[in-house]
Amino acid sequence: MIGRSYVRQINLAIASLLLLTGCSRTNTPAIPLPATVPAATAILPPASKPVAFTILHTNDSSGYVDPCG
Amino acid sequence: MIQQIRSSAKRPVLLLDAGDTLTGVSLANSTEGKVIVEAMNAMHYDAMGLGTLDLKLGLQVLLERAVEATFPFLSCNLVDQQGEPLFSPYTVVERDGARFGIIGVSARDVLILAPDPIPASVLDPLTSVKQVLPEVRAQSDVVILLSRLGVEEDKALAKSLQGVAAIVGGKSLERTAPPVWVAGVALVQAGYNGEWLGRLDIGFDAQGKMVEAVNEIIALGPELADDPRLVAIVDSYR
Repeated sequence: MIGRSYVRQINLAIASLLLLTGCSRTNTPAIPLPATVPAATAILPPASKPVAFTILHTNDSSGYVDPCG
Repeated sequence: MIQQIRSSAKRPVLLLDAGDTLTGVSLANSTEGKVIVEAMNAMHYDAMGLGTLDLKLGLQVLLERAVEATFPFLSCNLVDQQGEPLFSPYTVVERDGARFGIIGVSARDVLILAPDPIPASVLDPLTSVKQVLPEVRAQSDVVILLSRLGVEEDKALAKSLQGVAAIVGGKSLERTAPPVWVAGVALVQAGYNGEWLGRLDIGFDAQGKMVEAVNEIIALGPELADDPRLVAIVDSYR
């Protein structure tokens, strides 16, 4: 599991970037999956083919059509 | 940004919204969410969850928006007086040979902003998801939960469910990079007010073991050029 201090460091880094750049692109660094994280139960049926995919996600947009105001 | 990721990802890309989307600011309110649905159609969303700001339209108007949308509004626990779902409980998206089951679950208070009493009730989220999950798993390679419960309740769900890869959530307005991990399930949210886009990359090996899971939160700032088609849609409602 990711350590709490590690998460805090990342949150601080994000907060710093936001303060510095306002509404500019602030991608967080890609963080590799920690060794202890993999699923507790098999998600896919056994012997199925590998699957890799991307979910783009939004939430709580509250009707905004103009990002950043 | 979405187009850019779709064309460069070299893997199936899903676009999901966890709700509280159709009302809020004035243009969305004055068009009763029509401008939002049209913009989401143009962006080719795959599914949307339902929150209080969506039910704020009232049931009849929301059902009209659902007909106009080219993607389903999902809720497995919002039911009519006969106990039948008012919206699709789930959808299965087939993309590049893989089947993605997406289940929507609403919060218990989803009806509190509805303008008139709605002849509907909200069932227990966990019970409702558990009921529909086997059916979705049977039709899908991967199951994703589209939740409006907030991260704390999503954690409880993740502990109690078998076979869910990720919970794409909302309500608690968090930006989860990296994801919140509970029982091997990735919990993600992407902030609020349309200012961020979340990107969750997930990979499984042939044994169904998760071998990749990276979530980043992309700020949608003014340096990103507006899509002219979306500008035209928004302007047509002004």
